[in-house]
Amino acid sequence: MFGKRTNVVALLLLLCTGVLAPVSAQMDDEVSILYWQAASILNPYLSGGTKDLHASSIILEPLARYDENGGLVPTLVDEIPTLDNGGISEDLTSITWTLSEGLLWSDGTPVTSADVVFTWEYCVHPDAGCNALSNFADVENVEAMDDLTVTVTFSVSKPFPYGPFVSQVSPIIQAAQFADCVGANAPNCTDQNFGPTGTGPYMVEEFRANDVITYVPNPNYREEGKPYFQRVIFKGGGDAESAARAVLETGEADYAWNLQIAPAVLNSMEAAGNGTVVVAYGTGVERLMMNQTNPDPDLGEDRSIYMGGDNAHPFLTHDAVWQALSMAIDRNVIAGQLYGAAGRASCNVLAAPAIYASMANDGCLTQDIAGANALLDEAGILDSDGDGVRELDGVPLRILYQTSTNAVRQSTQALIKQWWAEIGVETELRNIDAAVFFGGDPASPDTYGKFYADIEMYTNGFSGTDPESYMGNWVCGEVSGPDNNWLGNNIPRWCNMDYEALVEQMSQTAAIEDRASLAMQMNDMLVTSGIMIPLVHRGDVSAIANSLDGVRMNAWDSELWNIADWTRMG
Amino acid sequence: MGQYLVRRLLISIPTLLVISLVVFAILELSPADPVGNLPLTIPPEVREQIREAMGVNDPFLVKFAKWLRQFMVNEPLNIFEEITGLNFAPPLSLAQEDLISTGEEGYGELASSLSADIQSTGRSVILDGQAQELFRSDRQFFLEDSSNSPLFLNEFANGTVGRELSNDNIDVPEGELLPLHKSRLRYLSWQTRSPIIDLVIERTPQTLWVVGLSYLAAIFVAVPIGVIQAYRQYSNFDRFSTVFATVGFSVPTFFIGLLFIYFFSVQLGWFPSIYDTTHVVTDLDSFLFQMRQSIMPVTVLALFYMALLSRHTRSSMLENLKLDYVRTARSKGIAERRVVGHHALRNSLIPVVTLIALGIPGVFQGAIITEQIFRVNGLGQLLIIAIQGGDLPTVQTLTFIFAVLNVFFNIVADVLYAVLDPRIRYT
Repeated sequence: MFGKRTNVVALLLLLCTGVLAPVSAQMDDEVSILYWQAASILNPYLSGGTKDLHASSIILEPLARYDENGGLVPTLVDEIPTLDNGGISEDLTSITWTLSEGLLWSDGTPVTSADVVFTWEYCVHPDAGCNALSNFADVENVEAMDDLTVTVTFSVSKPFPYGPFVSQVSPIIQAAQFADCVGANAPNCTDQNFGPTGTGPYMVEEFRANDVITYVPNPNYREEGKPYFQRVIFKGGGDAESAARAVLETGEADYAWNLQIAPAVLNSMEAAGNGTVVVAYGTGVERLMMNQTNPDPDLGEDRSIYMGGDNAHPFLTHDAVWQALSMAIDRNVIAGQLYGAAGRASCNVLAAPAIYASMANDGCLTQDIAGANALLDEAGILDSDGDGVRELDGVPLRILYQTSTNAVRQSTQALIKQWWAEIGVETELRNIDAAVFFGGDPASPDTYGKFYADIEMYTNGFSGTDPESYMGNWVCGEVSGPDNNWLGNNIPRWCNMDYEALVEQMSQTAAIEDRASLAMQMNDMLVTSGIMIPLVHRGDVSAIANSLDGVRMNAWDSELWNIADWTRMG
Repeated sequence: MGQYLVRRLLISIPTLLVISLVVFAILELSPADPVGNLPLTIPPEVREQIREAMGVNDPFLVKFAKWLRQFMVNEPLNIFEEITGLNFAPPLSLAQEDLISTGEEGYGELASSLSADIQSTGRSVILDGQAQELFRSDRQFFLEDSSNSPLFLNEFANGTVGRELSNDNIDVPEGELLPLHKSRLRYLSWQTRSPIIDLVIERTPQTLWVVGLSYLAAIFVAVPIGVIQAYRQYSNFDRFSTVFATVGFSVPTFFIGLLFIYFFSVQLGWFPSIYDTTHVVTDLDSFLFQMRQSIMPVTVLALFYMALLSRHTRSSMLENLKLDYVRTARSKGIAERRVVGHHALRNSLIPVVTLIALGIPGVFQGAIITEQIFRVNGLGQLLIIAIQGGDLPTVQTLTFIFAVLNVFFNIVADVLYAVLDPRIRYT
């Protein structure tokens, strides 16, 4: 009896020592990447978001991509076509790319211009539901001139023709693999969508949708000796905080993406010394959108409808009001306390790339509540009935302020509500689930496009580095309303002919300096007309283990854009 | 009993139909948009096209009918055919003149006007007087002639069938023909664009291992604890276990989970906080790793189930220990161990066993939050991601599978009750 018990205890002890052995450090030949939103699909043209684009950017490559400074890097070509080297036609309506010699797909077959042409056909097929369609806007034809040369022709002049086949959004897919997946068949090709053949440094070994992806090196990768890891594990699930912990505290992972967590928490994790937090600022700016139309529920069908300018907002269109609202906000407090590394105060809606960022509005960085009160007093907007809320022509300054449900946004709302109370403006706060708020259901009253509120807050930006189409969002034709199912891009419902002229002028201008000056003028106009109140220029935050070398955090393309160069230090 | 069982099973069919209709109707009213989470840089007209391609805009009844057919008929048939190798697809009746020769080595092309005929799933067709095999994939037909060269015909979105130009120069080797079990329309997730049933099958092992293991562990620990508690009522052990159970039951699993991660992963570094779903057990080392990565989620969940089960065992045991038959047994001089372990325990377990059976659907649902914390990407996490992404087909299917399990284990519990307690008879 006694002996038997000793045996059991010994066995248990043995098991325990095995089980309790310290969690082993990462294998030298394996890199583990944590995305708390798991990848659902590896076909970027059918993807549901950034995580899928990043996961597929390891396999599929575009002709050219952006580096961490927003510059174009040739990827499947030897040089970027420009006006100077004759790659772009004089009339700006065509661009000719020449593929590098000897490129192979991971299955060993050659990459040809037919694959590029096929990629275009695949995406623009009317039944495909391709989400990179705007990259192919105005493309009239894509033609293979020979095996390696392909010419993209536009129906209008394109001063910035780097939309098609550039960046993670628009990589080249293999014609042979996707031939039967065109149009309505696209979603049915599960094998292809889960394991595309690519030219990137790694290829898929196993794909588990919404869980984990295992990559192995591509034997036909164009750069000799690369990539350096024998395996890449792309794990999804969980939440941002535990992802940060796994890299910074426990050292279980090498890279964690999109760490939108409280700055204090992130800092204390970083103090553990296992890794570092890196930030890249892209184009995203958190801003307040100011409704230029009247959202009064009593108007029924007509609420928040532009109606040719006849339905103006009762007080937000008054200069003193929006100026005072903007002056009362301390952007540095919002950025510093709520965003931390992930944001910096901004007075521009076009805050990056650096050459497009205007300096003219930086005065907004200083909070001035006294000044805001004085401004309103001067304009005769006073609290005449003593209820603490000022009135303009008898209309009290009561604001309904909505945004999506998100801890940082609700904290921002609370801070702003408090500051506005100090200048005699009463604010009602509302938050809506992101899938509804950003969803396009024309039957829902809660979408950002319907804008049944006075002010709403969200982040907007653009992909790539060229702001032309982004700045074109606020033209009269884009005013959101019933005629476009509330899907128009001009959310504030603002219409200005001078602005329209600048947009038109930009579409005809090729020189980068002139484009920059035009974009800055447009930005200044938006900000000084009270259409938007910019708050925070948002950055992408990731964490990298100290032992991982070669990561160049990138806000202009996939964060994993240079994964071929990643190595283990020491 | 047999009659009762048949009746219960028959009643469960309309029950499930009503459940599925209600689930469908509720989700239809949900304002979640599957493209709502796409970056704002994607313009609205593109979003609308994506929605259109997903079939989001189909009318409610069309979606429901499609789902019923795909889920109730197609998927079970697919699974059955895959297992047995049989094929139930009826032959396609197409006359020779239905095929218009293109002069391309005798291949034919289906006239677009005949699309209606081809909708009726089938796989053989007469071409040039010879029987040919016609394979059907989701929207594609493969026609094989005697030389085994496939012909591709696409079913376009407008319902017509024809040949698409892009297929002209593609050589597809014989082996590339789709296997027959894929030849029916499958129910696709909006997020992954892949068949939902495949996702469910891929996810089930993780959930069964982690949640099932914790359930088993809880049963084996909770029952003895409950028995001892009842036998030594108001002893220190009873008091301690009661406090423990109350804590386990009332402190949410996500909180205990975080505490565990903090102590065992961050501070001590004993266990990984990330569960590796691709890990395969091949030898002792990999088994130990599997144990190590499972310990935290299993313990957290087991604590919860244990608290529940031990309380029930205790109260049921207390009730039985007071009864006359126990006193009789003792007065007959039967050993105490046998009185408690044999007579009292067996009777006390009747309600506990039914409780355990009713809890099994919960095992499949995965402890949603615990799976999320430890990144055990099982069924629970699949459901959460689908809800967040507005992936209604996945939510519908998972909810319905859970409903089926609930209905089924309710029947099992009722039957078990009758088996364990001879006093209960169903007629």
